[in-house]
Amino acid sequence: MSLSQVKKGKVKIMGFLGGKHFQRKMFALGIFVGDVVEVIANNYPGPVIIAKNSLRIAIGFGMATQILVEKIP
Amino acid sequence: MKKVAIAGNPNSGKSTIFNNLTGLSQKTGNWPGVTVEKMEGNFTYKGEKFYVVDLPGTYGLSTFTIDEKIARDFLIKEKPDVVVVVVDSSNIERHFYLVTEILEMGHNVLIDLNMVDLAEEKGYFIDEAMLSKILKVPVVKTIANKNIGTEELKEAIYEASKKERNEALKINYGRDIEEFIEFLKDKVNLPENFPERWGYLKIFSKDEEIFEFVKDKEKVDEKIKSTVKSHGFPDPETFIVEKKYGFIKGVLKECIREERKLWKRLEMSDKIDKVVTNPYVGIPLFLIFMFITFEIVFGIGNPLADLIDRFIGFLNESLKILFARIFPDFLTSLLTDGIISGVGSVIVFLPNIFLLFFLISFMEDSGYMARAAFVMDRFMHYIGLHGKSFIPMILGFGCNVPAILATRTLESKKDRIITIMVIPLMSCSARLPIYILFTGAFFKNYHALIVFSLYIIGVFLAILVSKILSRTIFKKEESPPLIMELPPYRKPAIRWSLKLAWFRSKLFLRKAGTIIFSAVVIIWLLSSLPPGVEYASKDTILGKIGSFIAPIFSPAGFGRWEIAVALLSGIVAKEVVVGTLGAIFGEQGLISSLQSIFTPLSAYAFLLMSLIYIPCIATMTAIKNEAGTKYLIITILYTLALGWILAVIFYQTANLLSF
Repeated sequence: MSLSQVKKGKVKIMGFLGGKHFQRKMFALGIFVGDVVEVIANNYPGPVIIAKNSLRIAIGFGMATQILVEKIP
Repeated sequence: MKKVAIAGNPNSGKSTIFNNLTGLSQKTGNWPGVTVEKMEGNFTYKGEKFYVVDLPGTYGLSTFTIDEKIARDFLIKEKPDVVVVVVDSSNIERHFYLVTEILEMGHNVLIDLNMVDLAEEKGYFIDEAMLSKILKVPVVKTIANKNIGTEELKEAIYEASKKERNEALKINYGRDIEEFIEFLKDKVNLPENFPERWGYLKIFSKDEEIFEFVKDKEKVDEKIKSTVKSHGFPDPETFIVEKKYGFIKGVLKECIREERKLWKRLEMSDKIDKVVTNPYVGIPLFLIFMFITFEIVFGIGNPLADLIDRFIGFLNESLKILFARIFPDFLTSLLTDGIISGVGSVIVFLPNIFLLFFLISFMEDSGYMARAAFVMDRFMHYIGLHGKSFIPMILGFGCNVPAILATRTLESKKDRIITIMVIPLMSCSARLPIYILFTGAFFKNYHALIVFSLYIIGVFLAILVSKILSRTIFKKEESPPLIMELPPYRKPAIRWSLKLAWFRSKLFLRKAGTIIFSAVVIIWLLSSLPPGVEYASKDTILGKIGSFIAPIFSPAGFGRWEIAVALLSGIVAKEVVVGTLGAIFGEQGLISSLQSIFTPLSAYAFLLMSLIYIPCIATMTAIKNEAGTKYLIITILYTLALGWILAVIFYQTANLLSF
């Protein structure tokens, strides 16, 4: 499923579908495939805010649909 | 003089560090060929003079963004004596990515652990001596927004500038990378003095620019592919980035003691975000904040502006009387009607501009600006712009000049330039006197409706033009993907916001002052020459130009020299249109004269023209400074054409329908 579909809770990032620039930007912010992040807020179909440690990142809806995730119970 | 570069991620507080170091010695300019602001300054410590450049905020040193390219080119080509890398200590792991990149280039690096108070608040305690020992570079702790640690930083820069250049940091990327580097050595022609190992690693990551130095591209490409594949990574960049983060984690583990005590602040921040970024609450909330900003900028600013205006008027009148005794008439007129009123018309904006800059830095500092951009993003994206463009456009209703300056918060060149180009369509408060005069004369019963229609038409045109621009001139340039860091909310440092606002206002005054000064003199000359004619009359050069161009406006129903002159003079400042009409027709009979020249239909056509045609000189100056001459010319031409076309279309169709 894509990150945009996750309402709440922890997810593991499985991959980035977007282009290279997008992937680079995620790297620059320190988000990698395999990371476990928490969805703080999701204003479907609006931006999603995720947390990794003390970092908060807002991701536009379009971009959030490009991030594949897996829910962690 | 020693050269010092300040590098760091966005939000690391590096501009504050730069300000603390250089104080008032700063200059701003643009980096060559781009519209990114370049800040430079200097300071003296123990008799040694240091020249300081504030590099754009970047996350790494790829060529992904123009900012990164600028920073990287500067580091490679200018070879600064000391590179201060400013790090947000409360986000240290991520901020260290840039640190390691610069260390790998082999500069004389000095690590500035900034915002240590925030880090400790969060529960991170950093052992800077250990960090310095592991990385073999000096480390200093600062709290920039409270100006703590500045002297220590200067001392460390002074010491570092005396050292030999650091050896480049060698991170162990594994045997395969070392093998690859060996393999690469005779297949690459790096320029002289180029950071070698760093360059090889960039080649491995397929950095477009540096890969060009490779002689046998195909062979190297193949080698990269096989190396990456054997390790199971999707691409070479992921490989390098992950290894680098592994190294960073290892180093930091040695130097950080973590106490998980104050996550409360983050929890609070998260709670606020759940509300603020919810579209149903966030958008109204944002509009309320905008309204308050508006109220302050113009509510407090306008009375102050009025005071300045009155003072300038008083000064003007007094000096007129004084000068009349000393100087010949034309000189008195030039000094008072020309220079004092002209330059005065810019100084009048100062309170609004200062308040605006203050509120912007206040909102940025508190962390709200990042959220606001996100909230408006969807709508703005629809019209081909970035969420952050919304704020400058709204501000344009007050005055276009600060609105254009406010576009500096936009990162991409495309968004900045389009926003700058459509801001003149936002009906600023200086156009209101024109509307009031004409609605009073022609549309007494529909006053509010007519004025409101003009504002709406302006907004509608701005949306239309930005859509067209983003699909034509800027078709190739993509907006950056919408991913941004949300710093936790914090209490803004008011003193710092005030200082920054004052600094930016001063720059505006200095830039605007010089250009407006010359423009005012030219307009004054045109409206008083040849000698002996009445000021701003038909026989002046301006009047003659007016007579010459007046026929152009005939299809719109107002092809008279007086009107043409009024529009011409309105280029100095829009409210001058009213003043000029007053001067030509006389204050007394103004309304009845207008009623004899215009019909309600041609009056509305004239209002459309006044709304759209050529921005005022102050706005043009701002456009030139922020976007460059090319886009200024395009803006002048398109606004002129659009204004004329709409006025004509309106007048002709309305006449045809004859209502």
